[in-house]
Amino acid sequence: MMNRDACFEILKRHITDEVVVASYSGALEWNDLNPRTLNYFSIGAMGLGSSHALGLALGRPDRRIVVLDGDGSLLMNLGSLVSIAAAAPKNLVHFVCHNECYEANGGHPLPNPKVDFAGLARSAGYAQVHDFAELRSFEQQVGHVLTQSGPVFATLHVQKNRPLVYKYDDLNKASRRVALKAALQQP
Amino acid sequence: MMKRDECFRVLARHIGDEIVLPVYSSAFDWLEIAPRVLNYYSFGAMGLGSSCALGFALGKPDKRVIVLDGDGSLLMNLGTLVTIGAAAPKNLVHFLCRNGTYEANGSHPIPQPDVDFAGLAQAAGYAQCVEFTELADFAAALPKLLRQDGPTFATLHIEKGALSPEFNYRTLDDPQKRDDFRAALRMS
Repeated sequence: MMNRDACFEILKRHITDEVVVASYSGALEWNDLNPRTLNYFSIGAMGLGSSHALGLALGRPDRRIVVLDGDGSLLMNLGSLVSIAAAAPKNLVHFVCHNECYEANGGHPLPNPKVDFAGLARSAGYAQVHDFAELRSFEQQVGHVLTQSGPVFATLHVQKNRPLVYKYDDLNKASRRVALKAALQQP
Repeated sequence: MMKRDECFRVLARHIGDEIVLPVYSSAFDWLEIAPRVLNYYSFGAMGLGSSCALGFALGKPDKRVIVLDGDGSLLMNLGTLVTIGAAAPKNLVHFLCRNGTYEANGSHPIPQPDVDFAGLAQAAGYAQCVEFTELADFAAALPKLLRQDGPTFATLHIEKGALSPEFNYRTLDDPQKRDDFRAALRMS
């Protein structure tokens, strides 16, 4: 079992010009650790982070798109796995933080906490599938995971988090989207 | 590769007092092969057949509930696999007729023809997951499949049906069918 913020700290070292799509609690933590223009916070339409990332991946095949999804979020839109496998974008890396609860909504448990997300992604047809429970092995392999020909899926088994302050107003600021759009229009 | 109606004819020989819940194209095949009051035809709310079946399975734990689902339908509501895996009703048998198309809507191909539905069910937490491509194998396995502790999932690899089947949904929509179904459930 890992801590999400420790995983993100490691991930941060490898991130340069990727678009990072982060949802709910993952978005808050990622924004604290690595505020940058090329972050896309997916909040409100719960579960649609990976669908938005698919659109970004198809629209910008020259760029890597990294999704920081939640298990609760993915379960709201599980068919997304099949749509992504069908479109098969090589440049999409889909991390799912598996903390076995709907953390942003009060920590309610998932209906089936032991669901095998990596197995679901494999059966849906993702090109590469990983499952990490140890920080050391994540640290060793994350560089490889980020550069593989995708779509790549990786479950991160993480603990329930310390309480977060959900500053959605800040993440939802229109200026963030305007800046992201402008940055994506640059060659 | 099998034919759906052949699979259903084999299945019908084993059906007694189970609740059978066929969706869309399967509903028409099944109605022709095995018209009975304990059929619940699920269409309209596409993809929700297995969710309705879960309700029946939990509400009537002493009865077997058999879903005749479609691949296009299941993809409309894939999270149902995890919900069923979590509730874990022992009396639910979920057949998936896999023809690679949304047959009832004009045979459009499903987005990802290589998706492994039995693998998805396994990862979601179903107790038993199998798949069949040969009718003889299906016929041989069926008695055990219908009796074992579920939730059970079985992919049936079947041929595509007619390109644009002309379905008369009104034959399935008859309110009398639901009234009879309710009455039969209360009796059983």
